[in-house]
Amino acid sequence: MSLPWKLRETFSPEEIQFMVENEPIKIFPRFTTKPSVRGAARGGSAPSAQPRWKLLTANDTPLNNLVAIQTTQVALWIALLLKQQGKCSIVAPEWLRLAQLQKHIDYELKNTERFSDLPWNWLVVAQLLFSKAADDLHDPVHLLRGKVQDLREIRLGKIGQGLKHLNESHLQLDNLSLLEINELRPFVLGVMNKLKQVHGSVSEDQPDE
Amino acid sequence: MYGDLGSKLVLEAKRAQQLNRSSGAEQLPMFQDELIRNIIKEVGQLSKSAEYLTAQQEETGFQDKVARCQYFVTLLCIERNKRCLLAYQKLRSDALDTFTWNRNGIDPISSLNAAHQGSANLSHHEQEYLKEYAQLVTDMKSGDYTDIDLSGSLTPPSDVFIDVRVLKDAGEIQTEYGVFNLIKDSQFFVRQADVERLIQQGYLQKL
Repeated sequence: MSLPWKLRETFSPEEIQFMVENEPIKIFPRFTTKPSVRGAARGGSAPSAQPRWKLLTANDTPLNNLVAIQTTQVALWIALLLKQQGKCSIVAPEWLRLAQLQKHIDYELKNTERFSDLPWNWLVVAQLLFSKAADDLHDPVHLLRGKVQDLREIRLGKIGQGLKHLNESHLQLDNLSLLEINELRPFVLGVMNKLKQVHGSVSEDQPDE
Repeated sequence: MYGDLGSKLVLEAKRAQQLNRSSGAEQLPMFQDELIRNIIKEVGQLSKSAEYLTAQQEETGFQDKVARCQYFVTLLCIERNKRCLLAYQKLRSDALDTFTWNRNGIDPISSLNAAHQGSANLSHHEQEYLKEYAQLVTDMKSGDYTDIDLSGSLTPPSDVFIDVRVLKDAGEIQTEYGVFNLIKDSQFFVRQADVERLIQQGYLQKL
């Protein structure tokens, strides 16, 4: 088959990152793309209200109306590209602060049966921002990293606990992030399919007896 | 017993599959010519005895239960041999398909012979199949989807520009976007889209 067997039943981590990069995030641009109306009126440096260039993407309205030091929402991949060239700073999401993360950790510790409601892409976003936009975060990165790692480990422990309850019909995974689900998928699907097969064969046999 | 040869063949197939998965080297082990011929010979014998049994049953008027059972079991043996043969062949053809997608579509399209050093390991029919499948893939790529390089890399693009190091001397290589002078151990900072094919071919190493 054209698709390598590794990709057939689950996403690769790169693909997860690709999906997450499509999510919007807020940035502080350091340059202006908004056509200047005043300049057009004066007929000075910018002779027409139409800019001479445009950024072409699928959804380019926010990109072509950037004003320096005014928050705008753009897709994460554009934000990272601009960040690499030093053309913007990324506004860290609400949950990526020490206090917020600590709250999540407390919640996780208190409620051993459920997961706290982090966004579905928290692991990937945290990892991307730590590596590429470390200077834009509100708190020192090493502390944030520590908290994220703590959260990850607590949740991993719970996932391990939850696997005890694998059955052939259903599984509830509220607030589990995409990356966490993705690494579980091959194992859980395999086991559940087998359980279902065994269960199905048993319930088929019973009416005959 | 009948069917033992078949399970030997399936074990062989299993081994080939594991080899493919662990090393990722797209090399198929030898085609088990001898073993397959033996299995086919066995099927021939089985079908002969099945014919003999039907002839015998016609004499007795389809009454003999033992003969009927014999006939049925013979059929099952043939069935099992067929399954083993098909499983083996399907696995190999899957590997060949993967190979076609991974290698052959890349820049110099007629790389079929150059790329597949192991063509001695293929049976005659498999070589034919490989050629025709490659043709099918080329047809598909030159059909409606010419804008997309369908056999290209499946990892999503993350960086527009990358550093590459030249691993093998290749002289001057023309890509669609310009000429590179690939001298061994030199480094380039280039658009990823330009060099993806050279990376797949093993001339460049991504840094």
